[in-house]
Amino acid sequence: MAQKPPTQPDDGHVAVSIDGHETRVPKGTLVLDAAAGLGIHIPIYCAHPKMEPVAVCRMCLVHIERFPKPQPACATVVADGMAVTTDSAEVTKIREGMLEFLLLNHPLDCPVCDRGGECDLQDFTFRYGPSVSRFPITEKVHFNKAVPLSEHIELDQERCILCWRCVRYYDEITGEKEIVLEQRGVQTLVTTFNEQPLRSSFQGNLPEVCPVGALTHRQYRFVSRPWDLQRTAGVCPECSYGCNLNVDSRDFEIRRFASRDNPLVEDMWLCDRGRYSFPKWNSTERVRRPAVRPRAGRARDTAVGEAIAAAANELRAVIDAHSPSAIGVMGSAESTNEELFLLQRLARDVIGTRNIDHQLGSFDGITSEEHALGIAEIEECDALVVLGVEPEEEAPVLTLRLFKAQHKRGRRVHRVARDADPAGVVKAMGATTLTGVIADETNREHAVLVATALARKGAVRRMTVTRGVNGRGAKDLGVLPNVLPGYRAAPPGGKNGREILEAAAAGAIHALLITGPNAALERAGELLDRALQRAESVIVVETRPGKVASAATVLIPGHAIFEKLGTVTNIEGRVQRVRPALPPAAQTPSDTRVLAALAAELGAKGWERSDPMSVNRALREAVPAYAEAGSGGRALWTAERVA
Amino acid sequence: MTGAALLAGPDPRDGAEGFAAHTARLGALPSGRHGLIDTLERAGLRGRGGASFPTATKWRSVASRRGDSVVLVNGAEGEPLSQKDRVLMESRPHLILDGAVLAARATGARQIVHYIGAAHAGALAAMRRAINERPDAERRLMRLVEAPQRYVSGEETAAVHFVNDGTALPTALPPRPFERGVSGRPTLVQNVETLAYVALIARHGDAWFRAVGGGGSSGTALVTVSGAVPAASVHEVDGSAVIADAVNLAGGLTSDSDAVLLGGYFGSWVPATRAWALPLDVGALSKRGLSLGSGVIGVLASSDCGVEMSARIAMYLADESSRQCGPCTFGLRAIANAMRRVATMQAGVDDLAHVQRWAGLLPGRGACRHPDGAAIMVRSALQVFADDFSLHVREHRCIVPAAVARAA
Ligand SMILES: Cc1cc2nc3c(=O)[nH]c(=O)nc-3n(C[C@H](O)[C@H](O)[C@H](O)COP(=O)(O)O)c2cc1C
Ligand code: SF4
Ligand code: SF4
Ligand code: SF4
Ligand code: FES
Repeated sequence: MAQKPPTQPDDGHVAVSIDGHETRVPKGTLVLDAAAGLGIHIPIYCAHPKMEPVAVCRMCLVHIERFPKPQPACATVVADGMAVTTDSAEVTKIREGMLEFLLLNHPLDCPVCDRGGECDLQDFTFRYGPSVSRFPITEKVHFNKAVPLSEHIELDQERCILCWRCVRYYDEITGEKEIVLEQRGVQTLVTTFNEQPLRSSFQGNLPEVCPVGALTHRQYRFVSRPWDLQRTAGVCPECSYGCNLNVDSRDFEIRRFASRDNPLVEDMWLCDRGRYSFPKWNSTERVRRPAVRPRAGRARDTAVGEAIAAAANELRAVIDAHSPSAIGVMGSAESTNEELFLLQRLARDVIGTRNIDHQLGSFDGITSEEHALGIAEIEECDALVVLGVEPEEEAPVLTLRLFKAQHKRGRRVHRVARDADPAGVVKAMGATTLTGVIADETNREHAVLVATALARKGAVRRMTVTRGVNGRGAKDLGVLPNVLPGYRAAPPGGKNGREILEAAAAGAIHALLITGPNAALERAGELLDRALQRAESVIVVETRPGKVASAATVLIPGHAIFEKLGTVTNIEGRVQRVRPALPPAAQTPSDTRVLAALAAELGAKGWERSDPMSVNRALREAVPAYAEAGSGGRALWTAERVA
Repeated sequence: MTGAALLAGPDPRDGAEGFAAHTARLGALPSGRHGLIDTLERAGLRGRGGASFPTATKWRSVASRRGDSVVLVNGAEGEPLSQKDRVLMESRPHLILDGAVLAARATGARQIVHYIGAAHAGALAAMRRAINERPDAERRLMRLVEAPQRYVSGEETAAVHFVNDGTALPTALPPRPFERGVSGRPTLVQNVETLAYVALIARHGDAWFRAVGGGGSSGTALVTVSGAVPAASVHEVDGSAVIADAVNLAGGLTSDSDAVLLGGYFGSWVPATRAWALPLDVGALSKRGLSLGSGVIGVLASSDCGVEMSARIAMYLADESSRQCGPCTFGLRAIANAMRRVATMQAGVDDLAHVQRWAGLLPGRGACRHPDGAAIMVRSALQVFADDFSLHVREHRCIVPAAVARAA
């Protein structure tokens, strides 16, 4: 007697069989995804993991028991007991046929196509195409090749396979309209809307959306073959949103940034500012040699050890002549957590100064609360208030998450003035259960007022878009005069960034220890000039030549973000790893080692283990939230951890 | 042989029968709410829009859905060889409206959308006038939408799509119209001729329907005869009629003919020798692997070359594809191009084999049945005109002098 299958509890899952393999997947799963879960690959062109299915290319047709004709795996939802076949002769014939149809109209210029090596048409033809070449040389349609659509993107109309992804990308992801598929006579043709050049700030995603070589990066044209590239997982250095990306390099140069899909952060999409910022990391303008340039005496290049000793001497001289508080320390929002953690220890525990910051403005009253809202949680807020244009200008990809919240999740998004009247905002919002308030870090105080007003109506979570790739880490780790790592209150009296510069310009602070690059300092303009001139001692660890490096009395080359190991923390507190993709431009030890060596010169004990990994361990011990975040998780503070 | 059910009464050429005359002739509209679906089922009524789908089954699936539904009256008539829907709308609009009202009652619809080809000016005017003659309670449910003049506009998902947001493109995805169609409601899409028959069956019953069919399985049918006849014309025939009868009703042959295109551009070429005796009955035809489709009988004139005609139809269908789905956009185009090369004596030796194979790759691959329909026509052409194709390809020759002149 045949045994009845055990009845499964209704746990929101259904049982399906694909090519004879049984699996249980959540209700609503697409056949395509259920198959992928079993390691069964179904070729797709029009389907895209971030877009709604349209099922037009018909490449993914599979056989489903009891269905009269083949069904698109990309658009068919699993049903309990469904039996799917993806490896039958029928399905093979369908795929061969589809590929044949596509290739009939395709130029097949793979050898000169930038997509060669990572093209879905090339790949699938190889994997699923007919084994004998039976493609007649028919009258292929000839369209325009290599048409620039903008400064970044180029279009080859002949290679387009009409999958609609580019059109849907604009429609569903950015909400813009820049590309259309136009019916011209008997042909359908991909082109720009009204023949206008592309203007979107997110066009760089198009070549990745396009499954073939129809849309390509102009910057990457003929630069490289994918198989020649070395790929390193990284984080976009352009802002604090912390988009995950892949750094593709060859011959010690970054050739492109490619997306790396972290659904919790950038959700696969990069902004053009970030994506096309890579050339600057190949810049040859770097600080390469340590130098000692005493105010009175001869400037000379030195070995790094000598420079560190000179720096220690200068600091000790100031401490002896004045006091530790005659020293000001400026960290950078572009340093790693490990560097920042050591820097604040060096300042507080070794040098003994309370004057430490990473920005110019005041962060009085800062708590972890202003960073409580996570990026993905934006979609869960029933209403969102964005104060001013600055948050989205600072972190462009935020715009796409807001669009998704609004259009896919039906959330209300209110963009109001930077200084909108809190009572007015409350009135405009109506009833809400959870409201997200998003501001940039120069508008903190007003954001507090708005959030407080809203809190009377329901729960509120705030997001503060910090400046600099690791602006959040600098705050979490206490590179501020008023808080210690983990937002514990610091002893009073420390000067903030502007006050440090002012004191230096006035002759009250005698030595500056600056780690760079620090865009905030540059913004101080003439105040910075006066401070740098007046200080007796300016100790600089820096990657880029410029005002600060030129004024240094001791200059030590730093390692750029793509040359080192460490972690950075994005606006929502996600601790993400950075790894070396390039060799360091300067033959010097890493910044953590430099800081540790300086501490040792100043007589500190226990700083021996100063490689980034060891520092990271020490950091996690000192800051429990970072221990819990691990790598890739969010550092969160419960109320009691907030001092 | 000739039937007079749909077109019984005054001469259709005299224009639309008004509401008063219609009611006087046939009596008031029966309530039809109870048991109408069962009656339609017993009658065995099938759709007249092309696919011959059982009407009762479709009504049941819409009626079983929750919430108000919508009836979409399909008068798009995009098939170039068909005129029967137009003739019906121009002469018996109230039969169609009766049917639509009955469908609305039986399926719980509170909206009736008349979807009528924008180029069919006479039909539009007649339907507009007829709607205005209906009682207020019915008129309030109705609106009229002009269907764009494309072949696919009349496809059911394209129709729903157009009514919803102004683009007449078929949708590749579930839900189907009966699940979620116009304004997201379950929608019954029904051809105008099918609905006209509903109005009669509701009045006369299913036994009458079978009887009026003259022994056939499907009542009478409207057919459009064109090609080698004096003029294209529409006739009502019953199931005992054969194609020769329809051709005679149209005035008889004006030239010799080798083949008949049965069913329309999605239909099959049938050699004339076999065609004349074919019964015009859905059941009998389907036993022979054929379909009456939308009732088109296209008679190939001796001055026309079957290869050329088929190539033209293939080109037309490729152009008229909504060009969404890969198989249609790329496959149908490739077939049409190859057939054009054959017709214009520019084909390579492999072209025929390619067309044959490609046609085999189309059915069931698109979102709608457009590629399937095209494949049926193409495959039948390759079979019926095999000798002509081979002559075109191997000897670059055509036996029809007029066609040779056109190709030059
Ligand atoms: C490409 C294509 C075009 C069609 N055009 C029409 C049309 O013009 N009129 C029509 O009634 N049905 C047309 N149909 C059939 C409809 O999809 C649908 O089956 C029909 O309207 C249903 O009504 P019926 O069941 O009464 O036949 C078309 C189908 C296809 C695939
Ligand atoms: S798009 Fe793909 S198949 Fe086409 S030329 Fe480029 S690499 Fe080759
Ligand atoms: S350009 Fe690329 S993404 Fe756009 S439709 Fe063509 S193949 Fe698809
Ligand atoms: S939003 Fe910020 S992190 Fe993301 S790609 Fe743009 S610049 Fe880079
Ligand atoms: S991937 Fe499924 S139809 Fe295109």
